[in-house]
Amino acid sequence: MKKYTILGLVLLLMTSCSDFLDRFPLGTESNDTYWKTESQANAALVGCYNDWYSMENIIYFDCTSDNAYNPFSWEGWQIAATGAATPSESGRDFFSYTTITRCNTFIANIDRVTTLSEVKRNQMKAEARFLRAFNYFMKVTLYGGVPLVTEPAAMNADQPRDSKEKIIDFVISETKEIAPLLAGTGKGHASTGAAYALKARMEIFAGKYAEAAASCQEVMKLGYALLPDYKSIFFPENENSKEVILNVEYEETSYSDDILGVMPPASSGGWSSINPTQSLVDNYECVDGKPINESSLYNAKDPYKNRDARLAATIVYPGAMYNGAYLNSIEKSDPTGDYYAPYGRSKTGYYPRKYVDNPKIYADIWKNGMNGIVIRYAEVLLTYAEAKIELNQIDQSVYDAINLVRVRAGLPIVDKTIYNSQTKMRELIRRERRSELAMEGIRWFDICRWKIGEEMMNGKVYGALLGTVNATNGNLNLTNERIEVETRIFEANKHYVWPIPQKYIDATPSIKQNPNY
Amino acid sequence: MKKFSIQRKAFLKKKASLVFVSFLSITIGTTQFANATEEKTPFVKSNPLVTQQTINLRGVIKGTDGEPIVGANVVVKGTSNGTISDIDGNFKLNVSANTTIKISSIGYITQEINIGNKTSIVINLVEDTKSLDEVVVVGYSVQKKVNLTGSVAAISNEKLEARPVTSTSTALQGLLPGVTVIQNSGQPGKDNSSIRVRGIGTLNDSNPMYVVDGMVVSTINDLDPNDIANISVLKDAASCAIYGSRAANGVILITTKKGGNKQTTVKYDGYFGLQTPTAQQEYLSSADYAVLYNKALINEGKKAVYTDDQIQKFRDGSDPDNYPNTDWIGLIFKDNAFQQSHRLEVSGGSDKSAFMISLGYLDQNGLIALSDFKRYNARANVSTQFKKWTFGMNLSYIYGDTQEPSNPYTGDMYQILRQANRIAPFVTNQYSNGYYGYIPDGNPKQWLDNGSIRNEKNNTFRGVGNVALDLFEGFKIQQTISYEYKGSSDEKFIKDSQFYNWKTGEKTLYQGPNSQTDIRYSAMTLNLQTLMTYNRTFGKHTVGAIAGYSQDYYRRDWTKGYRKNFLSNDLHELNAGSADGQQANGDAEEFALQSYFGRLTYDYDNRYLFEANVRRDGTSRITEDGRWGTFPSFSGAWRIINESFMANTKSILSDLKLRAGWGLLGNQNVIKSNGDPNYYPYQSLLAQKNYSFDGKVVLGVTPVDGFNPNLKWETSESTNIGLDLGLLNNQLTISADAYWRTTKDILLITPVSALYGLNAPAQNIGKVLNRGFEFQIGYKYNKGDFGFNSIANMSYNHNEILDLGNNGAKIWNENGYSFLQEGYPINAYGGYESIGLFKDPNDLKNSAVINRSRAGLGDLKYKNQNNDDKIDGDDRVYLGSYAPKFVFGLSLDFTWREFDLSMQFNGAAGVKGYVKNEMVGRLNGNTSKPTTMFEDCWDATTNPNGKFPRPLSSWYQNDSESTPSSFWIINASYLRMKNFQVGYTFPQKVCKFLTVSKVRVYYSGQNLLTLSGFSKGFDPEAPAGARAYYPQVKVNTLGLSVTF
Repeated sequence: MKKYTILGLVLLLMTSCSDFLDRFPLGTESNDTYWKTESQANAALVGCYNDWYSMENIIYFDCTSDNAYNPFSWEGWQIAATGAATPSESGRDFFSYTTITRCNTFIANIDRVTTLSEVKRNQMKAEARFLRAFNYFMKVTLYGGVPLVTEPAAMNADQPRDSKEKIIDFVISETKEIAPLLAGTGKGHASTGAAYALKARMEIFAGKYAEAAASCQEVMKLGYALLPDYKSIFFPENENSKEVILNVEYEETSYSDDILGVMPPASSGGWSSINPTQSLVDNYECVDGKPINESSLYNAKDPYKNRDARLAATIVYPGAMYNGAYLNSIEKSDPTGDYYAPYGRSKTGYYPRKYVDNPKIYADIWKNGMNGIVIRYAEVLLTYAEAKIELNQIDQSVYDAINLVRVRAGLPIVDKTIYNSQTKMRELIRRERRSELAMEGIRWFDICRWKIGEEMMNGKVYGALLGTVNATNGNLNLTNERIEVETRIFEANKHYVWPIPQKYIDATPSIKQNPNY
Repeated sequence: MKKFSIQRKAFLKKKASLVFVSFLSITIGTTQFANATEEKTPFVKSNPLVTQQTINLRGVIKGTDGEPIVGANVVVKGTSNGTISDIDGNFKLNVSANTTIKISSIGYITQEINIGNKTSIVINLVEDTKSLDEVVVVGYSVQKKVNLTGSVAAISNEKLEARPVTSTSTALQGLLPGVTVIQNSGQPGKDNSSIRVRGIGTLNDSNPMYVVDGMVVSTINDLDPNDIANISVLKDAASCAIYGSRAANGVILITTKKGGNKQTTVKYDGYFGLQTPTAQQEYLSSADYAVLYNKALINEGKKAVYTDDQIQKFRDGSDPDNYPNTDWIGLIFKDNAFQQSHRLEVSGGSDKSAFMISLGYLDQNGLIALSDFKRYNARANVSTQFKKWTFGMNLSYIYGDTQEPSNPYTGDMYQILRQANRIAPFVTNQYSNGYYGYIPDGNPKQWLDNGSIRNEKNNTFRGVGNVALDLFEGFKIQQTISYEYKGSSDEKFIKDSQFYNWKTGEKTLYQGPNSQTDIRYSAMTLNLQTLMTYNRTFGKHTVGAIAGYSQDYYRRDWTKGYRKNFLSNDLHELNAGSADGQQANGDAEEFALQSYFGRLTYDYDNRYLFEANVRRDGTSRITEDGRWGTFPSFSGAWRIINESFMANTKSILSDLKLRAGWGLLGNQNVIKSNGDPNYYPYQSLLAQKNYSFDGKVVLGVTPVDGFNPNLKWETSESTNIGLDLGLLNNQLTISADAYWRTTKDILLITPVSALYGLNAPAQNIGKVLNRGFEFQIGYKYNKGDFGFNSIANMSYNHNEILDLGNNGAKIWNENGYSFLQEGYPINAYGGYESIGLFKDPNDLKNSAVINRSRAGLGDLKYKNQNNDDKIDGDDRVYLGSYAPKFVFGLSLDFTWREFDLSMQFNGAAGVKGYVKNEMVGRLNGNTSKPTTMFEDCWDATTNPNGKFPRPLSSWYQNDSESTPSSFWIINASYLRMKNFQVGYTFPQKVCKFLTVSKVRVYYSGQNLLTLSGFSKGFDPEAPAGARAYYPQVKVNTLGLSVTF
């Protein structure tokens, strides 16, 4: 009997409770049980902001344009500019639907939180819709039409590309609808101004000039203003200044900006990854408000003197004081080791200065809290002016908008005697826009809408003139030998959009490649 | 005095296996043991009624050849009064007159002798070839090898002992047919190998299941190979099915050493060794690089940067500050490194109790400064009997301390190796005034000199306790509790570094601030298991049954702390850093598994064998609806040799058996796209993803990983047939197996729609076939003082994806050089098919190229597979597999008098390696350098017959990484002498003089010889596509083994 008692006991041991196999994450929220409280709703919105855009995009993006050159092909920004991008080697990826999925998930679930007020709920939804619209803006400008997805997609969702117009209309209608809902969001959040500014960007890109001008006027009502000192816009103390409309925000410790170190020269411990071009340098007017080929103040042997102050604020050129020494990237025997030719130095001899005017202000340049400006007020003023010029409605408001920007830069106001036609004004606004917004990641989009790729993105890229730099006063003694960087190719029927990365086409067969790639 | 003979040595080996088997009988509790040895001392009550004259019996036990037999059991029949023969075969025993004594020793036929009134006696035992049958451990049981119906490979401790290998997986290399072991690295503490049983069955974790002393463990690499008594590898479904859901990749069963019924013996093993690298990449000098770099720039339409004058200075070394030729590999690596190991083992016991205690110490220095591994391990295995009860406990503790130099970026050593493989020879390491040179991300030698260290400490405790009861005849019930605790810490201290302008002394690059990251893990597994076994023989019928229940609970916790801005680089515990910017993270995960299993075995007359297994597993990783899976198996064997019609062949044939089996196995291991295990693959989770508003970080959550509520078990179906053949009294043994394994509903992470926006989750997709055969041949020869024993094995495996559910499309992996597609092996290499170089301008003009604007003579010509007008993604084809088609091993053991010599080889064929980027070299300026492969760069005038493409700097149409092609996929077949060992065992009289029972000294060499078609400077076992790796090491060791 005893043995059967033991056997019975053992069999009892073998039947354990049924919930033994129910295991749930201990430190991660489950979507099924989430969405109850207001703080959960807030956190879910924050999750949409995570990685929605980056300082890296802001500072590197001009390397895809005629403003700059990225010497390190593996960083992904060079290939689009040289005209060598292919579907399998497509450079930077803006096709990913990560942010869109995050926003769609938020929008699809936020109504489950029943404790939110209607106003609050709509405002939060509007923020997610803004981030989604921004993402579609990037996609449509870089790739053309893409599949428009506004709800969380299935794993096997296969949807062909929607038309470019459909995406553009979506961005415009979304921004229009959410702009009023975004009033009163906090610092660093999407705002009414940001929505109208994005709307203006989309409209002017689409050639909807009247709408663009109107959108800009909406922004101009909101109290934004230019800072008096151009250079200081990119100083940490002016983060979230009244000129800033939209930021990508960082914090030093656990959501840090870890990219600024790629800009300074090797002598300052930087990577020299972003090299402004001669073409950009030449765009800056002289202090008399005339371009270099018209101004008597321009001296080819001392080319950086008497120039638009924004040149010195944007670019570190040979002979410029930087981080306690005069940059000498043009002299082989330079003791600081910044000579352009060795690897790991700027291949043009020029360095960017925005955000890193004084690299020492960052305790750690590779880990800091510096925000990146995505849209600032000066852009809106210039977009307004451009829209009006294209409409050929060149009234005083156009001159006022441009003059605000120019005067702040220390230039004389627009000479109405010279700039008196749509053609001349177009020439002016394009030059002005390039100078004002250089190295802020906007140039490529301007090239695309102005359709000047064939002219600007073809042929040789140049850097500075070689020569010597006086180490005590920065005086230059230049030769006639100019640095040549690379040769670019631009085909109008191909290069105004990027190739869609092959991996997306592989996984989603209905998506077809852009022409000629 | 006779020399210590071969037979005695052989006998000692048998003794070891007896010891091991006898413990098994206790802990695992099957009566199969009795079948195995036939000499089991029975429990018989002594008879107190017998009172007769006592004789002091002296005796000597010898074999038929006159050699003394050590350790034979001498027992008065029907009592527990007994003894064991000593090293010379002598024994003493007080017995009554006219009693019968029973003399038994494994490998010999047991004798019973009535001693009459004799006081001394000589006993000659006759060898019993039948009882030489090996016993192997199988799931939850042991089995005579001759009675196996499935496919099981086994080795015992002799093959593992006294080899200076630091990890158990590496020790297995080349020893077992069907088991592929690849060692990717020689880094101290991280020189673990990957083990694959019969190819790659799944696209997930393909590691086999490891079971040590009945306990499922996460790794066997922390185990001291010398603690192992026996390893069995269960290869087919019939053998594995009892382990059900976790056994789809095979099961490796390890039994650690036990004590036994013998006098206490103490054994010391130790060695000292010197490691040197097997192969290292060779890079060009700075002068040669400068010449190539100029050419590369010119080829891209740019200007050359180095003048002839400068190149001359690189060449002649006249101005080393400005024109250096730095050998970075030479600066980073030492010529050799020391290693030592010591181990002490005490074992013994009585007929009812057994114990084995071991202590081990391993110290392995690295070939790079600051890299080091120390391991301390202790183990106690004990068991005892009380009435019908048996109690056993195995406890082990392992402490491993791995140190490696760290760097300011990744904090581990890999980045230093990679940096050394990329920093150009024309960067000065240290200028004449002491300042360091550097590239934008630093200087690897400065990192080493700076002394930042990553320290990983691993504590592993394992305990298996069990109690068993013999309830009635043939029926035993056993309860086991197993617990594994792994506590580890990973501490990275990064010292800050300041670089200077060496001419002006001004500060330039700063790598800092200094920081400390501490990650602490603790992982526990608790397993409860109940096992009932029944074994009975009725006439010619032997039946066995096992029924069991098991449950596993696993939990893993981690916390991470980070602080920076330490006051100095001296103190680095977190409290010494600044609280500003500190971070704390942590999480925990758990999973559970519940199982019921059973087995039936039937044996008719040692001729017809049949076995059936079934296991039902439930997992927490799958939704309630689909979490239970049932995995049956059936197998049978026909021992033809025992048929009466075979009687005439016995003079030649000693064994002939046919085996066949079929079974289903499961897999529930789901991994995330980053390779980590995914414990909640069916649940939609919101990961923490923060953002910053106005300078403050705000908590955020969002979906990141995809999920799949429709997941179900991955199952594999396998069929095995085998043949075992023994010839000439088993002097020659041959074993052959053929198998087919199809795995379906594979838990596969495959690219999902671009619109999904989350990391792809696992799905049940596809079907993979592995089929192959294994062949093993063993030969033994003994004559006089000479002994020879060899085992050769060879395996062939064909791996093929049968179905991916995507209409035959290729799925490219993230790495860009491997893909999945129906009809091809898993993760096969893919890329362009390179068909020579463009040497003819017309050929170039008329051929499709990747990028017309960059194409030039001397570029690789790629085959235009689809004959369109360009070379693009559609022209990429299958280029081979990293998984060997054939693996083979050969071990040769010779003994002659006191000398022994053994050699062990392993190799692989039908395997490809992929070399890329830093391992090949690039011409990117100071952040890259070319290997000597570039010496053969094509040039129209200077090297028109060159086979290597023309030099290019930033154009990647020929590049090893950006443009994978067959040019960079290289035959990686190899043959390697894994171990060479020569030993000398001291003669008995020397031992007697030293008062020890055995002393052996040996020399051993690891990886002494490698034959490979792989490129110069590369190790054929190097990981595919690696950019840098710690080289495998040759080890020369001198060792000593003493038994007291």
